[in-house]
Order: sequence, then structure tokens, then C-alpha cells
Amino acid sequence: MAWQNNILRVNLTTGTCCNEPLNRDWAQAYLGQRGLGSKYLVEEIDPTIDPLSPDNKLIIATGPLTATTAPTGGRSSAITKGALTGAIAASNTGGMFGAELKMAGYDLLIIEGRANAPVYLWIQDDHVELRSAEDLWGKSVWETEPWLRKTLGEPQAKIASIGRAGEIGVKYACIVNDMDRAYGRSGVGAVMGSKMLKAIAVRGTVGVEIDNPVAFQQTVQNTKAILQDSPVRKRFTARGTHNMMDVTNQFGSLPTRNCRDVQFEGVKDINVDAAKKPRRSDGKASLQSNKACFACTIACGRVATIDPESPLLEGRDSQGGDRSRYRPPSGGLEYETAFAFGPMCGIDDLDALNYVNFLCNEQGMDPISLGVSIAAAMELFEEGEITSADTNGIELRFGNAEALAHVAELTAFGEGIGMDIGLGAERLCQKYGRSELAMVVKGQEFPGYDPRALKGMGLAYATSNRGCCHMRARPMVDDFSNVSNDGKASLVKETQDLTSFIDSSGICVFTNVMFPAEHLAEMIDAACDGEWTIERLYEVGERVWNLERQFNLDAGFTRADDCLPPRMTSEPAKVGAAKGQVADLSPLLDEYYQLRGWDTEGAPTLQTLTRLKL
Amino acid sequence: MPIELKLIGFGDERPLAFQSSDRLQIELVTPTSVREILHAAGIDETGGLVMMDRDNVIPEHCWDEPNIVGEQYLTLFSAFEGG
Repeated sequence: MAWQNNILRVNLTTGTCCNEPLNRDWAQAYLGQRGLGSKYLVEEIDPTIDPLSPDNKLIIATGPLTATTAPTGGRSSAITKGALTGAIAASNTGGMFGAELKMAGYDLLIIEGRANAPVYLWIQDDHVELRSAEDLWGKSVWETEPWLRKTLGEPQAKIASIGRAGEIGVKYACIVNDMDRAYGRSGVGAVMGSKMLKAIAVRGTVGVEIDNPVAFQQTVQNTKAILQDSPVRKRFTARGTHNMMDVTNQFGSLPTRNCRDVQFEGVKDINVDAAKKPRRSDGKASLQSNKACFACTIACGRVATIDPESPLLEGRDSQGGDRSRYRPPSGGLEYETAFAFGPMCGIDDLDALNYVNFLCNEQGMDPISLGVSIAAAMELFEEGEITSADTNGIELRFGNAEALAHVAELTAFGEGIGMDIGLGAERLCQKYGRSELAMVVKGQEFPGYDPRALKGMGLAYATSNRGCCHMRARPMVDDFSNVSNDGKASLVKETQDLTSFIDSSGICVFTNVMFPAEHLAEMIDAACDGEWTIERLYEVGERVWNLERQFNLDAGFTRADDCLPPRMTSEPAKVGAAKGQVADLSPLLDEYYQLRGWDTEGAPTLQTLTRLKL
Repeated sequence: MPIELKLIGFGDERPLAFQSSDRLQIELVTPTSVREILHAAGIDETGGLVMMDRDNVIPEHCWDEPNIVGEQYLTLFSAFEGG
């Protein structure tokens, strides 16, 4: 119940598609989505393989609450060995695609092998076929989605696809669904591109069976009522995640100019209030409205426009594309996108931020990794490691909005200095002999929280199984009120387990500050067979975390990879709540390993593995 | 003594006492506590809020202590978890 008990396995090498029953024991142990998909990946691939080889697999996984009426129940994950990191990747998206896949009758879609020519996958309930994508290869996400709906004659089809970035192997290419939502991090789009799979189109009309419909409806109603009254929910709806920029800036934890600084003087020009302010040109605000994913009553998504008089909309890009295509409203700025293209690159031009955000949605790139990679390139340029000869004359300095837009285009299309930026910050800085300038953990770029001030977040970054990530633990509220290492190890461990089971359920992790996780346990208990308590969910979360950890250890990662860039540990914050402080990770790491039941090298002990039935 | 309270991250969800501004001047007999100041500003629901005195965080466990002496510029954050 709640699971469809059905997996779709697609082998691109042989061109075969077949159904197989879901492993029910694994569903009871790993729940769904991130946890269950990771279990299948770990069982089916060698952790040491090249992520871009045909031996890697790409798993799209839904959760038991996906496509139900549970609030925010539209989530799904893409699980694979990450192209950017070489670590296990589980990228989570909203929108409508995951729910549609579940309603087509599938818990998981497992994609293996590699096609010898571009293909797309068409799923219409139990009708599944691979079709040639020769006509689509080279097209953007924004061209692919309408093309497929028209070609398939199915306007209700939901689509996940890669843009040019995934085709050419940008290391942090993502898979975009519903035009502007994405399986964003760790390069899952590069893996999809390596398999010559351009898109997945789905139309699903099968329902989801609930174990106890009356109890489920009651607990969903109760939970939605709490969500409706939540002051945090109200602020998410009104101001989106972008609201965080004022908070991190005031606190002195806003990564600025490749983390040289922790506050940005230009915030007032790129924050939510700036996005809501009417423009001189047309009297309209950049921020047009908000929007919601499947079954979501939060609606933190944004819809924005670029100033119609912006010079960024004039002329053509290097591929001949008319830049005026960015005039219509499209997916707007999240906090992470705004931070990465704004303060991290020293840019205070709201239109430039929106422009590059649109480009990321259109061509399928993770905006966090792109922004932080460009910031690294800007510092390399200012340090004289990258020269004007390397950039073909582009003055790639902090604060140059035109340069930001230009090199972002070059990256999406694999041209010039964009080829280097598309490698990610770590490989870029290694190439130019300045590894220490890469703001990464396990090869993945920093989100918008500086760990010199936010101590728990520093530990969360260092120990995240998919590389640097702000969504794998939730220590922020405590971090803002407690600028010390006290209590952080246990907080990070607990919230890592929390996010692991939320990410395995089918609902959105943002709900964790809007209603207690006990309500999630009640919804799962009513929807699924078996008895589901909050204690059992935490055990599932811990099991998932250790499963991912073991995969990474088997892939070659060690304690030495649980670290922060040297700038975080040697250059004190200049201002703010942590003025004069650096991140001091070592004692935290020892305590964290102990709490996790790992040895001093960070490997789960036999006792821990046995306790978690791993 | 006057105390200035500045809001960060509230947007249009400001407490009524602030009207359309993010700043509020509060006159209270000092010394007073953070809790009293918040109460005077119409803020009784304090979950997820962080108070800073210039660059220093005032830990929540100190909010009932009378350590606010006036002529202070306090910043109140709505520190919900962003994404």
C-alpha cells in the first residue's frame, strides 16, 4: 500500500524495458525515494566505477507519499554515482514529474547502460518505449518540453530532460523537470547525458492505493491545518527562500566574493524587497508571483521577469540564440541561486542574477555549482592565474555582471573558458595550480551559509554524503543563536537522520520547520502497511545515512574528505557574529563519529552495521 | 531609555506595532530583558527568532535576564531554515 510495488527497468544498451516487482523487504527498511533508490544503487553497481561509464545507473525514485494528498507529496529523487563528486548522489526535485511517474504505476525507474544514439523514454502508464531523440539532441530544456508534448500528442505529459550542459558533460549538469524544477546537485544530468538519454516523458493515470484511507485523510487534514497556520509557512509563501539573504548578510554568514568576505554591501539591490520593487522601465516588479509544486500549500517557488530594457536581453548568444527569449516570466530566484550569482560573485545586478538563473533552467545546470565555480574563476583571474588570454578578453572580475552572464553562457555551451568552469571549482582550481581557492567539500560547491559563523552547518557540509550540501542536515536555527561548537555534533547527526527519512518519504524537507515529524509518521503509518512510528523513521534515516556512507568509503573516500576548504579554517571572518573566528572542525568530527558509531577513521563499526541491519 | 529594535527577514509579516517599518523605538524602564522588549513590541511567539545586540548574539537562555540597559540597537532575526 502506498507503494506501487512496481519497478520499471530500462536498459539503454539493449533497448529493452521491463517491469519487475518492488523488493518489499527493502521498502520496509528504506521506505522509498532517496533511501530505497540508494539501496538499489548500492546493490547494483560497483562503487569504484567511472560515473560516466555505462556501468553507472540512474535511478528515479518516488516515495510512498508521492502522488498522494499528503502536503508537498510530489517529491522524487535521482540517485546515481555523481559525475561531479564520485560520491553517491541523491538529488531531490518537486514540480509535477515525480507524482506523474508514480501515477503511471512506478515506484522506481532504473536506467542502465548507454544508448548508441540519442533517445528519449516515453511512459504512458504500462506502455513504455524508447524513441529516437536525434531531433532533440542539441535543444534546450525549454525547447524539449513543448516539442515532446506536441510530438506525443499528450499536452498533460510531464517531462524531465537535460539541456546542452548535460549533453556536453558539464560536471554539475542537472536534470530539469517542469521547465524550472530540477534534480539539481552532484551532476546527475551529466550521468543522464553520458547515457545518451535526452528526456523522460510520462503520463500517468493510475491511482495510489492507501492502506487506511479514512485515517490518512484525517491526518492529512490535521497536518494541513498546522501548515496553514505556521508563521514560517507564511513567510515562505510571501517571500520564498530568497528571504534568507537578509538574515545571512546581517549575521555575517553570507559567502561573498568566493568566501573572502561574509557580508555583501550590495544586498539591498538583490534581496526580496528589490525583487518586489517596481521598475522604472515598465512599472512592474521583477517578482511576478509565487507557485507551488504538486500537492503543496506552501508555494515557495517564484516567477520572475528580467527588466525589458535590460541590455542583457539584446543581441544573440554565441550559439546564435536570440536573448530576447528570456523576456517572458519564468522560474525566479531561490536563495541559493541568488547567493551564488550575487554575493559569491560580488554582483548586485538583479537582472543579471535572473538572466543566469533562466540560463541554468534552460540548459540544465546546477546554479550553486555554476555560481561558485565562476566565483573561483573570478578569484583566479584577480590573482593573475587566469589571464585575459584565457578568457578571450573577458574581464572576469568580482562584480562584473556582464562577465558573469557571458561566462555562464560559455559554460552551458562548452566554449572557451566555459570549458574549464564546467569542470567545477575543484578541477578548475587544480588546473590553475590554486586548489585552495575551491570552495568545495568532496568536490561539490558551497551553498550560501558560511561555516565560520554557522558551526553546525560546517560539520554538515564536511560530512554530507553527496558532497557539500545545506539540505542534508538542518542545524540553522540553532546555528544562528549559538555561535559555538557546543551541541552541534549531536544536532547535525539527528537532523541528518531526520532529513534522510523525509527525503525517503515523498514530501518536502522544508516542512520540517512547519510541522513536527510526528505528523509525517502518522501519514506514513496510515498510508503504508506495517507500523510506522517516529522512532522507526529515525532508524530508517540512520540506516540510509550509513548505507550512503559505506558506499562512499567503498568508492575510496576517507576521513580526510570530511573537511572544509583551508580558507574556512585559516582565514577568520572579518565581521559579524563570528568576527575573528574560523571553523574548528576537528573536535566536532571526533564527537560526531562517536555519536554515529563509527571508528576514528569514519567507518561504521561492525556493531553499528549489525544494529542497523546493514 | 530608548531601545531600537530592527527586524530582519519578516517581510510583510511584521508585528502590528512596527506598522510598515522594519524599525521600532521602544521606551522602557531599564534595565530590562529581551523578553520584555519583545512583549512591548507585540511579539509573544518567539520560535525561530534570534536576537543580536550589534554583532553579538543574545542566547535565548538569557532572554529573561535584565541585561538590556538602554541606548541599544537590537536586531531580531526570523531565522527559519532557508533552502
